[in-house]
Amino acid sequence: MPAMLFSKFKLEDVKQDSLQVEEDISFVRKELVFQRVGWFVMFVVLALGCVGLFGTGILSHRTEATANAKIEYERFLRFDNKTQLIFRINNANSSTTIGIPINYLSKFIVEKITPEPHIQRQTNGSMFYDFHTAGSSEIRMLVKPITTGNYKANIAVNRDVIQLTHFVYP
Amino acid sequence: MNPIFRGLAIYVFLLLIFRITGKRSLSETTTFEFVLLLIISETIQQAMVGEDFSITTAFLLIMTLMGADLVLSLLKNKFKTVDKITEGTPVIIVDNGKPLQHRMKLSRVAEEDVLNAARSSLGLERMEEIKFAVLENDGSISIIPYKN
Repeated sequence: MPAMLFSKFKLEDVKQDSLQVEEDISFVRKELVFQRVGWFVMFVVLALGCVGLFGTGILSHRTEATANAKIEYERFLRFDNKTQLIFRINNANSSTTIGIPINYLSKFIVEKITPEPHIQRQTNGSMFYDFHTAGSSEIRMLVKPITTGNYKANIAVNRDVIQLTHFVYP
Repeated sequence: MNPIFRGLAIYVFLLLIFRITGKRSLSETTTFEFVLLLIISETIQQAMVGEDFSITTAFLLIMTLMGADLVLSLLKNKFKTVDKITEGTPVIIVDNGKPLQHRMKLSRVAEEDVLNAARSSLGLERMEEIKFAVLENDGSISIIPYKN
């Protein structure tokens, strides 16, 4: 494959000794091949970016569901860039509780919760948010990652536990 | 992320992306390319600084970028290979009035670009009046005419 690629880059020989120029034609050929490979990589990265490898796209959008609840979130995030966690709860009772582990919250800043919880408490290493709900409900959390890397978290929605996985790019 | 690492990451990325896109990219600054350069600098500035507008960060970033450039120039001076890798080498594209088609095509230089450089730098009228044309490391075209 590299030999085939190199053979496409034939450059004319120049035999001259009057012009004092440090031309290295074998290096120029390697440079041209490197550039073409670089272009290819660049467009592959852009194509993957379009479909969401770096966040906001079909590769990134995830939905995790149990019988009573569903969470929509982005698998791939970028550092310091806000994202939404959308909780959809079916047949909610008069109150819904969402529990988020503290070590997850240490990597994200919760910027806004809609609707606002009427109680917020910390128990056994998790932050619990209690909401007044009825019927099918939707709760949105706007969060911002403040560290990079791969994170997993078990989020409790009433009695269900749903696992989220994020990868935060620098 | 630490601003020094951010600065270094941006420096290395820019070096790489400008080597990949080649000498001719943004070598002649048209109005559109000038605007493109402004957009690139604005994008980089936001990624490097983020929401940290402190003087300390500004000092650190300036020192990082200048320091990286200084180290690179020292390495280029000491090792010829580093110079070639980061800057490339000049390429002769016209030899004794004859355009070297493969070299020009692969370097993305059109005959019109050579004639343009010949006209604007030396007032030459025809390709046959050019002894050598060299695509320089910065993407510009040097014209050497025949001596009368």
